[in-house]
Amino acid sequence: MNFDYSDDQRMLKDSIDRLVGERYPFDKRADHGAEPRGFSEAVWREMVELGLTMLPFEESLGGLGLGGVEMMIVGEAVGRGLLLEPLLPSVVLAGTAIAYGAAPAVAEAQLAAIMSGETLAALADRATIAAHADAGGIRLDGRAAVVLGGDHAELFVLPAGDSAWIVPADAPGLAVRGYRLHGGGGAADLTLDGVRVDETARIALPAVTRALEAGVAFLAAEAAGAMRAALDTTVDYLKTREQFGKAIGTNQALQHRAAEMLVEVEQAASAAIFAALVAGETDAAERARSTAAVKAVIGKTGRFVAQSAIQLHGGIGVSQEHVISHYFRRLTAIGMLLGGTDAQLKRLAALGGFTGSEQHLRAA
Amino acid sequence: MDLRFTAEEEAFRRDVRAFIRDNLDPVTHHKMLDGRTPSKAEIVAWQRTLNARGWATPSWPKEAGGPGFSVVERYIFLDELHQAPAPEPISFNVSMIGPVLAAFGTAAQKERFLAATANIDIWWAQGFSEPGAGSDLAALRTSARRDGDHYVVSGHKIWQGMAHHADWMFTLVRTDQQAPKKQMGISFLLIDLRLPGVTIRPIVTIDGRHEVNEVFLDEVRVPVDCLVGEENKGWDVTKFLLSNERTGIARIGMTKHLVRRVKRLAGADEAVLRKVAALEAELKILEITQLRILDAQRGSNAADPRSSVLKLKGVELRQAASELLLEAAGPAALEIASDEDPLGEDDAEWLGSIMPNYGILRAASIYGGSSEVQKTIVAKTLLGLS
Ligand SMILES: Cc1cc2nc3c(=O)[nH]c(=O)nc-3n(C[C@H](O)[C@H](O)[C@H](O)COP(=O)(O)OP(=O)(O)OC[C@H]3O[C@@H](n4cnc5c(N)ncnc54)[C@H](O)[C@@H]3O)c2cc1C
Repeated sequence: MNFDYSDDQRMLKDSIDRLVGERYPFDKRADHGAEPRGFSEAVWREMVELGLTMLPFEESLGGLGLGGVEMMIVGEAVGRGLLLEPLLPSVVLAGTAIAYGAAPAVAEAQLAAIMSGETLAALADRATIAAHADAGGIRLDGRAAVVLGGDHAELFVLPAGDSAWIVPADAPGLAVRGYRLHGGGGAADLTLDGVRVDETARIALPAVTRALEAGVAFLAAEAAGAMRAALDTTVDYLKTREQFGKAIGTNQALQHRAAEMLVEVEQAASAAIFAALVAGETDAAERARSTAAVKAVIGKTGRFVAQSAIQLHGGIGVSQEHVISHYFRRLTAIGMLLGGTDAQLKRLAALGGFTGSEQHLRAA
Repeated sequence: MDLRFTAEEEAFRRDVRAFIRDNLDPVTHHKMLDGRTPSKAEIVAWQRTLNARGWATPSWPKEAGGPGFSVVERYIFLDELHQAPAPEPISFNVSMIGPVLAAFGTAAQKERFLAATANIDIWWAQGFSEPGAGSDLAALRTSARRDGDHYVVSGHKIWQGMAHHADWMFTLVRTDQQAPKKQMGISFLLIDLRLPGVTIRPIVTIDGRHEVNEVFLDEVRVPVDCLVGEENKGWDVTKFLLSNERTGIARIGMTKHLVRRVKRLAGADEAVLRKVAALEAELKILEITQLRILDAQRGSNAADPRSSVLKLKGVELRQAASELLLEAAGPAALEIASDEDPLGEDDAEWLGSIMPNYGILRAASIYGGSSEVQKTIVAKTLLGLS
């Protein structure tokens, strides 16, 4: 057992922390969001230059071949700074699906475009699309909702039937309605009416599962970073805000609420670590169970921390000019994306949870 | 004991519902169903419709132009508005300044303001909070210096709801810097927002809406006849205002409206349906608590400290309902929309307000006495702990 960062991981953390510190002070964030694609093109280029878009992919595919812990480090910083750049949809979700599931030559070519930051890709996790083989190849019909990053994606990975398919955004028969999301980023609703793909576009379905697990792990890290930052901001406020002639943090009621926040923040940090380490697990059932548990826990902790942070701030906490309202919105969104808490708990129950019903001493 | 309303009360409920059905503008109603904020013009129009019926000021005494409702009628009336849902009478006008003027105003002030306030010829803002004076309202620093027939007022108010729509603001100012207790040097002043020296700055809230404001007062010359009550006795007026109109404080009708929406959106989602059942169980019982307190208030106007219980539980359930609505709607509710977006088909559920309303409803446990402050009141007044 070892929960320490390696030297390389510490260096990665320093560089992403520096990027977030310099480029994403809260007063610059609104400007970034006001750019045409809803994020800072300049920061996105810097993230590419830092290698963040290459980080999780095998060296054979042109990536850096790093693992879950490195992605967690990045995710935490993204959460703390409330970054808007499309690392999650393009790299973590669509990129992972392509890396694990496309034919090697296709994967290499598509990932090169994604890692360069030039091509944005998106993966649909809420799709009902039918695939039919006919004389002209494969035909896709159906729809997908709230496809993360879909508002500016050039490329979609769309599950249909027993596979997923790489579909360019300008494919005939594909209609894309893009919009911005509460909490940052964008998404799209897609309608497919006779979209044509061929065998080279095929992605094996387990790769989509892998991608969604990587996505949940990234969201967990983001949530842990955002929660820690929301707690730090809140504790600072409790120490400096005075009412009735003393700091409001001297009231035991507020101390206890802040202490409860810390309990949940520690849980979130552990969830992020667990997700990062389980990403390398080869047993698919174990990964599925763990992912469900992680997502359920960050949903619950995120909600409590976000609500408490506002409550302890009083009125200023609901002002859009205050960062707390943005942590609230992002944490709320994280709780709902890639499967909400109820859906995750249902899965976890179906998978039998972690502990059997048998008496402990009777087990091997 | 008997849970039922009297036949007259039941008839009154039917009258109110029929009136709303027949008179509420369909666009305003549609916006309310959607959870959007109606426009100023729509709110004013509805208030005037109610006023023409004699119902604009449910909590005002008859002498002040109110309908003379009993506490139970007042409750039924508000509950019907909340469930319809229709805009409730603008609280700044109807629940706050009206009763204050009726109780503390001079004859001239009543003459000048009451009817105009009921008809929203004057829209009022509440100028209490300041950056340094929130829960600790008496810490306010906005100062008023007497100069002949005027007070010269300077200070910084914050969180004024709808002040950008308002014509006047009732304001707490410090008139005696030397008073031995901070509550003792405060006066209650009416300020015409068109006076020179008044600047209103918008605050955009977590829901993306502009409803609250900062109000800067820079050497504003306010005529002395705009003082309500005695100079330096403004705290008494404030206590009256804050304890007044607690009837509908649990907002049960508003929560019922949210429950209806949750059920429509949940479809067959078992997890959501079970949670909404849990919420309804508590809401139904809260209604009984509400009625117990109402019954105790029949014929007495004394503030009931148990209204803090209603506020605490009422807010908890309303916030829970808004959260459940978000869950029922799912990630599609994360799409950013605007209250100005075109109205949809008549019975279609509009998801655009769900996330904004979930966010802004967090403020319900902050304003009107935060939940922490309410619990302190309960502990002190109902439990004798201090
Ligand atoms: C949407 C909105 C609309 C509003 N509209 C108006 C309006 O129209 N006019 C107006 O004048 N004001 C208005 N307000 C202001 C409102 O009255 C204040 O926000 C409220 O009084 C709380 O003050 P504060 O925000 O300064 O928080 P603070 O008082 O600073 O409180 C911060 C936190 O500390 C807690 N706290 C403070 N003191 C204690 C204590 N002694 N013990 C335990 N906990 C404590 C609070 O409960 C809260 O959790 C509005 C506020 C909001 C958010």
